[in-house]
Amino acid sequence: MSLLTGSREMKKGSAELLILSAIEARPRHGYDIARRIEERSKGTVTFHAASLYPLLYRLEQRGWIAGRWTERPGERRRRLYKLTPEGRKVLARQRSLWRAFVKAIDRAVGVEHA
Amino acid sequence: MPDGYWQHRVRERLAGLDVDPATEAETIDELTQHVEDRYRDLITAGVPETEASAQAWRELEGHPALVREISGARASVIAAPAQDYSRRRLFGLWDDFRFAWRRLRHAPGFALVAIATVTLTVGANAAILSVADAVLFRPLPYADADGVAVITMMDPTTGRHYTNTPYALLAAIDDGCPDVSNVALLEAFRGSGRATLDTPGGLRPVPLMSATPNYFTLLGVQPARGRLFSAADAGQENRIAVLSHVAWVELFGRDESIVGRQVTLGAVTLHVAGVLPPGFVFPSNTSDRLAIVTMRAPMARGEKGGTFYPIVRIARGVSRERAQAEVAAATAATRQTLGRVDSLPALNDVRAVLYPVGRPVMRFLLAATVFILLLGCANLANMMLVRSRRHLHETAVRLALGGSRLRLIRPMLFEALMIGLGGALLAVGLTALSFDLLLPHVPPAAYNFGRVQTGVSVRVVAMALTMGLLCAVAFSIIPAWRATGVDVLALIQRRGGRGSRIRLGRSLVAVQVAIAVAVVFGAVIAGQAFLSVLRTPLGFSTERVALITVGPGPAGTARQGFLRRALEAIQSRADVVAAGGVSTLPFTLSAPDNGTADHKAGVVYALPGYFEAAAIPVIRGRTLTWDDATAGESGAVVSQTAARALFGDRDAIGATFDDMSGDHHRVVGVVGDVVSSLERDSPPLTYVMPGEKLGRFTFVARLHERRADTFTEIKRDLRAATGLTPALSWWEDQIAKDNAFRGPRFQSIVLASLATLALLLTALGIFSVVAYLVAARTREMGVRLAIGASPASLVALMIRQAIWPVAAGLVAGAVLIGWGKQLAEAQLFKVDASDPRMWAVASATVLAAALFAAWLPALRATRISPTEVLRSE
Repeated sequence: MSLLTGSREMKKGSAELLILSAIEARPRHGYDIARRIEERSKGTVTFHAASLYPLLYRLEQRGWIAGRWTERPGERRRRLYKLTPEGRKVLARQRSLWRAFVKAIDRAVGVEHA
Repeated sequence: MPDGYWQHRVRERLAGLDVDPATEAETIDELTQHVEDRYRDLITAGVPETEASAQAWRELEGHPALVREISGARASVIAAPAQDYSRRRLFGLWDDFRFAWRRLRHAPGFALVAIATVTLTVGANAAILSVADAVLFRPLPYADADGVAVITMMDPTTGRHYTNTPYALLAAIDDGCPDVSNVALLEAFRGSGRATLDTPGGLRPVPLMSATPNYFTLLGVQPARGRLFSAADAGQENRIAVLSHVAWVELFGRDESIVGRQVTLGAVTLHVAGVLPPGFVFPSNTSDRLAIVTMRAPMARGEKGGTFYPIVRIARGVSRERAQAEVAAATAATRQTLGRVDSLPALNDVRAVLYPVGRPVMRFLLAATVFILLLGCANLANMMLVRSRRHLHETAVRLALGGSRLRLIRPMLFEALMIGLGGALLAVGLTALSFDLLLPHVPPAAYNFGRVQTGVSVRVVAMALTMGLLCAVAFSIIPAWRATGVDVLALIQRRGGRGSRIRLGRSLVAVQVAIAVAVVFGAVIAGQAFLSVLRTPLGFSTERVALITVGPGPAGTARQGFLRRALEAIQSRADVVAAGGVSTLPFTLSAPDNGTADHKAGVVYALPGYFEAAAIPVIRGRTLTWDDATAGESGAVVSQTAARALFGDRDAIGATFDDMSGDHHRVVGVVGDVVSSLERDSPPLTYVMPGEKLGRFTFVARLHERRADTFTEIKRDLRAATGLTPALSWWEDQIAKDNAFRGPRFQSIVLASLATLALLLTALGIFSVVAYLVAARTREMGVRLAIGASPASLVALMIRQAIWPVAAGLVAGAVLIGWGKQLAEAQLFKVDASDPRMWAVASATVLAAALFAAWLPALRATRISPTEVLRSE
């Protein structure tokens, strides 16, 4: 997580947002979530299992996501996580907060958009 | 990488996770998959194996708080409901309800069987209750009905009752009983009492009754329209009348203006004072649905007899026994004077008069259904026990995470509530749908020939729902309580903790077997009773006999001419072997129309040819002819029993007797006995020619053959001879659905159905317990198989587990039968409940069902794989 190394708080808040948005379109299992985040951030943001799973369990505990074991013929069973209705609301709120936060930071550091 | 390599490393990495074993296994599985996926992706991307392995493992390296964080988060996920519930809606009741619903949905087999158990159990009770309610429980339509007593004459030595009480005795009650009110009378006229009313639908026969002015006041009845009789109506005797509610509806089309109007009944014109309330039943065994009740004069001293139903009201706080003693003392001298020391006026409970047959039958059947209820409840308790065993591990985990016992019991109670409610609703629905099918099998005498309303009433629905809920909840509390009192540590470590639950299950099996033996025994002897019924000689023959009713026809002096014309029209037909007529057909539970003056025999009115047509054998002398209908001393035929009762060892032919109407008869012949009902011995009967008094008559014609067009031809002939259209039926068809047959058949059908149900429920109970034993001892049996035990020996072992409670149940069943024997013998027709073969048949049936029910789940023991069992440990 090279870009965000400097701010643990920022990472913590954004990590939840990253996970929630990774499963927004469809349910995914843990490794798939990590890979999805890595792909979409073009390798900038990476999650190790050691930090991903405690976070997934906490989100599940809060009722934002729900985990469920599924089995397909010829494959190992997998635990898929999907957004709960409450999680969807949280994602929308966090997303708008994040946009406002990024804009504020941009303005503070003097980035000018064309 | 070798199989299990990553899993082994992840398990080591997560050592010390503070979660339950199942969650620990899931977490290890999930993280292992993650590392394996990462390793496979790296290998696919061309990373060398050693490097790929190191990189994949880096996923779990570092992060020293990993174990603590996962423990916290995972424990919270499981414990969350327990912590959150208290703050949620209605203290978490809604969540408990949803949890219970989910559990039931995930066990459809259990839910189905449990609901079916409640449905069958409550359904059997609701069906019987829907008939029994009116007979045993529904309040009578009188104010303070317990205080009302119906007076009959009772012979204390035989226990027989007569409806003919001399006025002098009633006057003695009026004079000498301070704790008993004045007597009120209802008189139901027979025969000529059926007046005809000109209605818009044509002439209709209407039963006429008369009541004294104090009759309705004594009963405390309020009119539906207008007013009822009162002392102020003195002088209006036989001029004012009240209508029964059915008469108002059916004869006058609910005409609101009927009160105050005049109605004409034949030669009589009556002023309608009011209408009786719906559901009103006269405290008598007389037919009163369509009755029009006129007011009669109060009791007159010195008046002679008649068929009437005197009632009194016993003063508040005075027991029936004390009032009865008062009546006995007050009438002693008069009885002496009248020469009636052998009988005394008895104060009867109204229900005993209204339902003389129904009450004992219904009590007997209710006792049987209570047994079924107990069986069903025991079964449910057993199933709950087995179910709690399946959830034992889950229960232990939730207890370990701090869930309170009450919180764990609540979903189980909700589950029981859903089962109870579902089963009871289904039971009520089924009963309502099947009631019309059930009712034709119920002997009409059991519910007063339809004079009282029967059906699935609101009371029955309420009783059934309460029963279902109570049964389900009460019998799931103990299993639920026991299930939550587990040794958490022992269970999580998968050790023991089952002994007491098995003991409880076995005790329930013993109780179920005992009840089943008793109910099956009841069904066996009811079947025997029904066979006895079919084998009983009736004393007459119904083969090819047509029953013909024409009526009512003219009254008075023209009556006999009318009857003779009709009978001769029938007799003149070429296809008629013999024909006659009778006022009361045998085997209909109906009382004779009259009695001999000494009350020793009944009097039936018969027309010449009756004995030949009904094939009643002539023992001595001859049968009746038209010449026997002479005034002064008419000819009579007596049955063998009547000959003995009236004349003892004397020769009956030529002997004389008087009837209660004061007519004198000389015996011209003795005929064979006929049965009036199967429950009783043949009554002593005398047959006399009808005078001018009798109204309704049934012609009996034996034909050469049963042909389809016979009835049409007879109708045509009778119309030509009398101007009236007769109603016809075949006697043998009639008798097949006759009351006297219906009683034993009804009992047989009900008891056989209940016995089947009892067997089914018992088998289910045993099945549950053995299935539970097999599940609980899977590991032990795996070990036994591994060390060489044969599958057959395991089946035998499991069946042996069930045998002891079954054996105990069979013994307890024998004790139950011993207690209930007398009740069964009193209620069922000519059975010997002491016959050991009956007990043997019942026990063998239950034993066979029990062994089969134990064998089925025991077979599962043979399918246990020792390798899988031992590996899972």
